[in-house]
This record gives sequence, C-alpha cells and structure tokens, in this order.
Amino acid sequence: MALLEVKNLSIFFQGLKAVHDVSFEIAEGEIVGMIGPNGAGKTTIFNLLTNVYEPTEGEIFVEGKSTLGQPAYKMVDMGLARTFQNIRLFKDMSVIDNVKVGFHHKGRYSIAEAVFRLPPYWREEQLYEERAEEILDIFGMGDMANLPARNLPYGAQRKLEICRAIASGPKLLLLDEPACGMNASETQELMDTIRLVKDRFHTSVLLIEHDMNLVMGICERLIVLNYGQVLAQGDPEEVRNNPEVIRAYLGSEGDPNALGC
Amino acid sequence: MDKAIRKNILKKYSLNIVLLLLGFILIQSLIVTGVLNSYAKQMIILVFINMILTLSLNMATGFLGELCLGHAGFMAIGAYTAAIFTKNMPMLPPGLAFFIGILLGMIMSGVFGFLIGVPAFRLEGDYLAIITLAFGQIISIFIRSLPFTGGALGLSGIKRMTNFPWVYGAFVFTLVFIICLMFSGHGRAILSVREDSIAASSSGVNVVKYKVITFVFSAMLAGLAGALYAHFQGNLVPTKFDYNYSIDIMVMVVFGGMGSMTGSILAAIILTLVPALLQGLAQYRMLLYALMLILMMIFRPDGVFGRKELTYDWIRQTYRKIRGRWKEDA
Repeated sequence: MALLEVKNLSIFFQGLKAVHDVSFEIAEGEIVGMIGPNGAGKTTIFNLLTNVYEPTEGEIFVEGKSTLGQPAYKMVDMGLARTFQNIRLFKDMSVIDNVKVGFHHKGRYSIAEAVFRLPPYWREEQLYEERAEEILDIFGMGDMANLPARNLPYGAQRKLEICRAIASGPKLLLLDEPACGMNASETQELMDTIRLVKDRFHTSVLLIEHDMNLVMGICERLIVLNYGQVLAQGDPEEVRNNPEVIRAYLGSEGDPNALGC
Repeated sequence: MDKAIRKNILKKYSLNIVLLLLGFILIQSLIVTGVLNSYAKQMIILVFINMILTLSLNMATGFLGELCLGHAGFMAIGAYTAAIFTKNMPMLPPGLAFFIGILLGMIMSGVFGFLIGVPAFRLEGDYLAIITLAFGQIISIFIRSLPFTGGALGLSGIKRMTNFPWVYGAFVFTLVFIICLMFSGHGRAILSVREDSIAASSSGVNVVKYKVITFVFSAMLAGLAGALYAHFQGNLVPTKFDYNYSIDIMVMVVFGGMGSMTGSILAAIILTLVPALLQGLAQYRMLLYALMLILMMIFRPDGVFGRKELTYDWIRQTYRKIRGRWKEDA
C-alpha cells in the first residue's frame, strides 16, 4: 500500500480549474519532486494535501485512510508535515521553542497540570527539551537553540522550518520550494539536509522546486504539472527527455539539456 | 524521577516564593504599623486591582494577539455577580461569602468570554475587536435596565471586604497562573497562534481552541479584578464600566508593552498613580493619556518593555556588564 494516494483530485475556483483530475502515489521512503511552470497548481496541491483547501472532487488517502473532512491541524496526526514557500516561523520565539511546537500534537498533560506544575508537566517538558536538542544537533543548529528565530540567517530559517516539521514525526514531509532564494552552496547544504531527513527519520519527501540542480540531484521520481494537470510522471531521466515536458517549459521542442544539469 | 523533579521545583521556585513573601510582609507591615495613611492604602489596593486587569488583558492582546476593546464589560460582570451574591448571602461568614462571590464572578465572566469567543474566533480577522466593543456597550446598558442590578443608580451597600492580603493573594494567583500557563506546551501553542496561525495549525495546534481558551482565561481574570473592585468600592455604578475604562486598560497594556508581564505591572503602577497624583488636573487626565500614547508610539512603539521580561538572567547579565565596566574604569 502506498503511503500517500491521491485519486482524481480537483479543485475549481469559480470556474478556474486550478487542479484538475490529478492522481499520483508516493511510496514509503521515496523522495519525489513536483515541478511545473508557475501557476501549474503545485502549491494548490500542497494546500489540498494539508486540508487548507477542500477539494471539489477526488480524495486523498494517507496509509489507506481518507483525509476528507479532517481539520488542517489534524493532518499532523495523520503523518503529514509541511514547510512554506515564504518561510513561516514563530519569529519572536526561540529556535528551540519553534521545534517544541512541533511536538504539540503529542502533548498529553492538561492545562491544569501545567498551571499547578504537576509531575506530568515536568516529565514531558524534560522529554521535549531532550528531543528538541537532539533534532537541532542532528541538523547542526544546536548552538542556536536559544536565539530568537528572527535572528537566524536565511538558510538556517529554512532549516529550522524543516526541524519543526520533523519534530511532529511525519511519515511524509512536504517541502514548498525549499531552495527558493538560496545560493549554490546553500542549495548543496539543503540537499544534504533532505537526504538526512530521509536516512535518519525514514520520512518520505515530496518537494516543489524550480531549481533543477536540486530536483535532478536528489529526487528519485518526478511529477510534472501543467495547467493543473499531470503532464508526466517518472524517473528524472525519463522526464527530462519527455517532449511534452520540454514544450511546457520552453514553448517548443528544443535542446533537452536546456532543462538544467 | 519524581525525586529529581521535586528538587528541580525547589531550585527553580524558591527564590520567587521568598521574594513574593517579602513583598507581602513589607507592604503589610507598613500598613499595620500605620506608616501608610488610609489614602495610600486605598491607592495600593487600586494599583493591585489594575495590575490584575492589565495582566489579564495582556493575555488576550499581548500573548494571543487579539484586540479586545470591551474588557471593562468582563470586569463589570465579575463585579456585579460577586456583589449580588455577597449581598444576598448574609448568613454565610463574610470571608467565605466573598471567596465564593469571587469564584462565581470569575465563572460568569468566563462564560461570557466563551459565548463571545466561540463565534468571533470562527471568523478570521479582527472581528473580536468589533464584537467586544459592542459587548462592552451592551453590558453597561443591560446593567442599567435589569431589575436586580440597581439600575442607573447603581448597587450600594456592598460589604467592603477587599483589603491588602486579598488583593495581594489575587495578584499572586494571577501572576503565577499566567507564568505557569505561558511557560508550558500550552503557552507555546498560544504564542505560536499569535506569531503565525497558519504555521501553527499546520504544526498541529488547534488554533480556534487555543484562541477561545486564552480569551476565556483573560475574561475570568478580569472578572476577578471586578469582584475585588466591587468589594473595595462598596458601591457599583454602571457608568464606571464604560468604553473609556476599557480603553484605559488597553492604554496600560500598550504602554507597558504588549506581551510583557513586567511591562503590564509597571504600567498599571505608573498609570494608576500618576493621575491620582495629578488630582488637581483631573480634567486633563484623558489629554495626558492621549499625549502619552502619541509620544509612546513615536519614540517607543513597542511599549516600555516591548515583549521583554525582567528575569533573573537579565539581572545577572546586566550586573556582569556593569561590573565589567567598573573594572575597565579602575
């Protein structure tokens, strides 16, 4: 059984078919890239996957369970975590507190137990502290734990968003243009981070990206979108030589190498 | 494990407990020995009531990031509920009646907070400001026209139970409650909602639930302040709890810094004492407030403390800095 199964997914915004009849699957431990020209519906699909939007038609299954009708905050319980195209951190909170928010949905102690500082509070908070430090150490951010998130450099902010998402223990991590605004060396570091996510946390990754170096470098499979529909699916080599994909990107048949690498 | 926890608690909180006790002993001994006259005593109680109010509004506005313009309304509900209870329960010992009255006042304010919060927070945007503004007006009109609230004449003959130990106890309760709530997983969830509600929700925080809970707590603490106020004044008039009073409280929060408890406490002290000291200029009080706010927004838009707190770490660091500078000079 696939980890994520998307079946005939559509969403219409007053006649605009932003996503139309999209189906794909993601297996456990896979790194899948979603590419396509601007406005192809990539971020819309992410918003559908995390139940920010409700689909007009179609259904999404995570490990065979339908996500239909679940509120957005419950998606973490189902095993989905995401990052955002424009970084969304809790900027006035410390780096480690940002990560700890990721543990929130696992929190068991009640408000009363917190206010009266009863043993469950101490036990859980100690556990969170250790686990958050562990995650920050794995991603090489241990020494920044007590800084306010807004003081971090750009690349580190992107990384912290991934840390926060990982803290919620997802089975599938959705990354929305993680390399956006990064230079070549930062992108290289990001690729290592994404591999780390897969190897250390056994998390599948679905990422939207325009940076072809990154996409071709780490994705095992690609999904190409155009005008809200799936144009092609397959391994990177196959997709790169697909004449339809080239037409969508360049407007006419051209040199396949124009796609990068 | 539990032993380690107990040790941890002692280490963490012993200094705070000692400081709070010392503060109480200091002021109480000044009152008992008669160093402070009755006017000063009254001012101290008023300052503490305003500190509770400011802390409670700071919770909704500073920590949750929602503008509430009808806080005096919640205070009024707490005040009238407690006063009506104690007036109708003369057979209970006064201390016990007062305590139950406070609890009832808090619960009643909380219920109203819930009734307002649930519909308001289902919408996204600044609807709460408009709804609470209307709520504040409606409450004062209701109080004026209901049969059991004394109407426009007000409610008089309330037993004056509020003395320094009561307000100090209530203040410590409020402070400890807010600190313990905010420095926990639930507090982090509340802050995350303020910082970015979309990211909070995709991190698994139930945004609507936390907004409603925080708002209900904020209303309950305002009700606590109201109950204390009713038994401090001895009489209640509906005009006291109008729009201006809500704005007064908001001014204190903004002045101290939205999201800073230290700032709220400091602002409540300054903005209660300054107008009282300028008694002769009472008619210029609102002018002063306005001027103060304008100057504040120009020179320190985040309030005196911004979102910072006065903590032991901060004191330690500042002490080291000053000592370092002395050594350099020497």
